Amino acid sequence: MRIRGRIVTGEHGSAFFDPGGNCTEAKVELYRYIDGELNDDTRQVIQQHLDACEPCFRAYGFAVELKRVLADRCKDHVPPSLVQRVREAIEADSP
Amino acid sequence: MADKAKFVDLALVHMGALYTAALRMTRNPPDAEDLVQETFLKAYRGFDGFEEGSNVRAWLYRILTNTFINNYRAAKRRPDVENMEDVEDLYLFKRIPISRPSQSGGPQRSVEEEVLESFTDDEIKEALESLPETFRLALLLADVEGFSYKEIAEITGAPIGTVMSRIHRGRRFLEKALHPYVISRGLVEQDGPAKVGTVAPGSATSGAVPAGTGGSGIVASGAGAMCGSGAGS
Repeated sequence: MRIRGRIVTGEHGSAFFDPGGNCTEAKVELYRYIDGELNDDTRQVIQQHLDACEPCFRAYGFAVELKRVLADRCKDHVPPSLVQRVREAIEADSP
Repeated sequence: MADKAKFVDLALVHMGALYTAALRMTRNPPDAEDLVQETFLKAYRGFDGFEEGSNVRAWLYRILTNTFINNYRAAKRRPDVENMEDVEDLYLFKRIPISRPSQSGGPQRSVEEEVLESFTDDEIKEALESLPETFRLALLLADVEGFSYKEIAEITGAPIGTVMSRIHRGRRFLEKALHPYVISRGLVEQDGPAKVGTVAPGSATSGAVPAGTGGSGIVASGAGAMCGSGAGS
């Protein structure tokens, strides 16, 4: 079993114990982490790092929120006339 | 012959999502409506071959994507976007200062939250629509529709590594496209990043608007963006 962890100095200047991964790895894997596309081991390493590193956690929070904003703000209402058109087209297509 | 009632039941509930995607891709309502109608008609005609229990939504998106590429794309030739110059990661995030003076006695929100909440729906849509088609589609499928990388690979016919790269690059392009909207609101830095490389705690601010310049009142702290090169090595 590998033991991860080391004392690191983050960009914010203070030294801290990073229990898993490092800032560079967290940065590389950030989007795959957010998208739920990492295997359990890597996900855990990134999660532990985010718990310990405030700047990385802040970047993570921003990326998650931006993804949510995109999902929430890009909805459009279907014009009722289109629903009607599609139903009629399917109806007319039947032999 | 396809079972019409069953098709209507299974497929038409996805019309809202498909219309949203069609609008973002065609960028105009008449074309979006035609694209949606054509998608459903093709789906209906192919419904006999659709395996029960498989993912209806992904199947419909695949038809929509193919129909768009074949019939609606403005230029048939695909520009070489895969080689487009990249944008630095977390482009917008890095330009948001760590803090700014509280505007009122209300609950404290982070500047990041303030920035994200300041966008109107139209600004988000416009920024997304400004992206090259390849990246726009990747973000639509990943972020707006929430498909997995594997599903997007199946929908678009691209290898999973390509899908991942398009999503990740698309997000960087999107952050850059959103940046101009918030500059005018005084919420972000106009030029360089507010959150910069290795800066010792309590050191001079970097990229901040100095207090009392009549500017936006932004105060950038010395904290770094996401920790970068050198950290932990």
